[in-house]
Amino acid sequence: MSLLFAPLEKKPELLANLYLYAVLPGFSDLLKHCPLARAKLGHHSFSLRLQSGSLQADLYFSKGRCRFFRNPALRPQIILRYLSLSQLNHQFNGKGFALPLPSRGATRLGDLQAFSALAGLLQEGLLSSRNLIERGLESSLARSIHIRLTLGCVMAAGAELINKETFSKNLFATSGDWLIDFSIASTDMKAWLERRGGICHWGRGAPPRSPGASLEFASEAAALEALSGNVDTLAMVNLRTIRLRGHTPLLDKLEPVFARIDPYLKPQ
Amino acid sequence: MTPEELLQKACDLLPGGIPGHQNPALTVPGTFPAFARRAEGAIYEDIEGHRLIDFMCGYGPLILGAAHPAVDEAFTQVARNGNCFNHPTEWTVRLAEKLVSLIDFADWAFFGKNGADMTYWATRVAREHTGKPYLIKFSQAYHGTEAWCSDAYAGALPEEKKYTLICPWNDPLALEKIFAEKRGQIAAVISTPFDHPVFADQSLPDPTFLKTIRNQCDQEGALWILDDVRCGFRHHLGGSHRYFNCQPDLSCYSKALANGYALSAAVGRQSLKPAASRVFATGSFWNNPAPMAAALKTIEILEQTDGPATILQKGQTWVEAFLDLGKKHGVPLVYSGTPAMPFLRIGEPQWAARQQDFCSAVLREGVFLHPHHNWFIGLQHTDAILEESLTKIDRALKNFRNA
Repeated sequence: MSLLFAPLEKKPELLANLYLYAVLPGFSDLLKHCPLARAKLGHHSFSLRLQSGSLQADLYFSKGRCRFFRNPALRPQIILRYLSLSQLNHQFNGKGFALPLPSRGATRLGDLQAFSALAGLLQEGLLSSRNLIERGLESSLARSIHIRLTLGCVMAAGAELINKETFSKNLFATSGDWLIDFSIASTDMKAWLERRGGICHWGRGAPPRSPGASLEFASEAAALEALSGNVDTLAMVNLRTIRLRGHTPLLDKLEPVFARIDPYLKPQ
Repeated sequence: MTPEELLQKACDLLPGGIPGHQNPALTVPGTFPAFARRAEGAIYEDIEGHRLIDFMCGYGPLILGAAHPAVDEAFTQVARNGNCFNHPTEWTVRLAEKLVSLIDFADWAFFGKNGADMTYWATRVAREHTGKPYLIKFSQAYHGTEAWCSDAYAGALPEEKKYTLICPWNDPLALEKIFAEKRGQIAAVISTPFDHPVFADQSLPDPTFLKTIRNQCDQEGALWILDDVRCGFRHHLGGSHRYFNCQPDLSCYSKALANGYALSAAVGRQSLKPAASRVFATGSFWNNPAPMAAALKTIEILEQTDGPATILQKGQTWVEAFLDLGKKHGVPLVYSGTPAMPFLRIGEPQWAARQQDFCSAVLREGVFLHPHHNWFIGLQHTDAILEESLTKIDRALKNFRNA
């Protein structure tokens, strides 16, 4: 959908929320499914925080895995502090000065190098499967990683927008509590998005409760096509490459929200 | 060409495959048919030749049934002498005269092709008459796909929705609050006779709510536009306001007006005629005489058969029998709407998916019930057809319960 009706909000905090809470969780999927990522992490074991003002997110890398914490309890070994939200955003979008101040763990150069390499890999994996193939991954695995990362990012960014962006928030203001599950047939790729008590959450795997609506992509290719945007979604539904069930107007409402994710995260 | 090939071709050639409300995506894709082949009376055949007892009636227009011989003959006879001219024909005046005689508050009539032609035009008449900018519509009400009244955002500008204020249905206090907040700025309240949203139960109006609409409009110098496009002629030949005992200033009709031929109409009070004449709206086909002849024949048949009362009676009997079948099979059913436009759903939380399963089961038995949109009863639903549909629904409920 075009942005004619509701242009993107130019609030650094909204963008920082999207980067911290929609992009960074992708490290978990990346480490879990990508052997290149596990090789890059190697024996490194560290915890790292990205922080600007009151916004922060922690990543715990250990034993070939990554865990993401939105509200961390422990003090991490490395803290990368950004002087402003705009500076943090520059780190992700590659525009302008972005160098953070390592307020803790500045001497852990090996860990920082590993993190930097993993961040590059995450970015490439989110953009397309091609980059992963060029790095030597088998094409079907590369595609599956790209879809997994995209699906997670879309769910998380969708939740952030519904919670914080005026247009998306208003869309769901009167829709009560709901739960929608997303899956890709013949794979273990599942995710869910829920609005409960006015707050939107997301998760991977099977939904915690019976969903009000479900969307199943018939294949990875269908998911890739639909998630890449600007496709004839209705035609895909009619041809059963996207299968809907339940209270489908919820999915209609999500479409314009999802359509706003790319313009936020991949500005021209 | 197989149905699958046709659908694939449609999806290649048409945006969305099948645009609009007839898109199978809005029913149960893969189970519900995507294309029709023929229809007669209450029976509809999909492209594969499955015989279905139809309770959607083309989403409302078929109040006498598909391919009605007398209506089709009236249409064809006129069309033989041409259906598109440089001028209107006497049929325009004759139909206007008929509507004015049928509808108690109507002093004039205006014609178009679709319901939305009339609802949008009526809002402009209200603005022109009152000199005020704002419209109040009710939250789930459908008055067409135009940006001013729809929930869609694609291709829309915020400015197009800026003057449409949304009020919850059956909430007189909320309505009074909006009027108070925009004192002296409300041109009209636009409502349907009852709330008939999709994916939700229907809701009849509280009498106090209808009184509040009328009172607020009178106090504030606003008009009440009744969008009778979907309900019109199914509850009362003089308009649904007669059935619900209320009094609008303008009413819009379409759907059942010409039993399936493209025609819409708006009617209004004498005092609104100057404003109505100033709001220019027209279309190349708006005065085509054949649909107007079809409309006159449709109304004639409805008058002769006491159509709306008969439809309401048939609907009442059918709904009661349907609910009894639910009890028999231990399947909880929730009824809403009116007997002429009923909607029955599975009475469970998260019912939409179960309703899709249920309506799919009914479809497999040969009855077309939309899972999320109100159904329609017409004169084509003879006692034998209704009985046959109940036998099939009985089987479907049994299968559904055991599934």
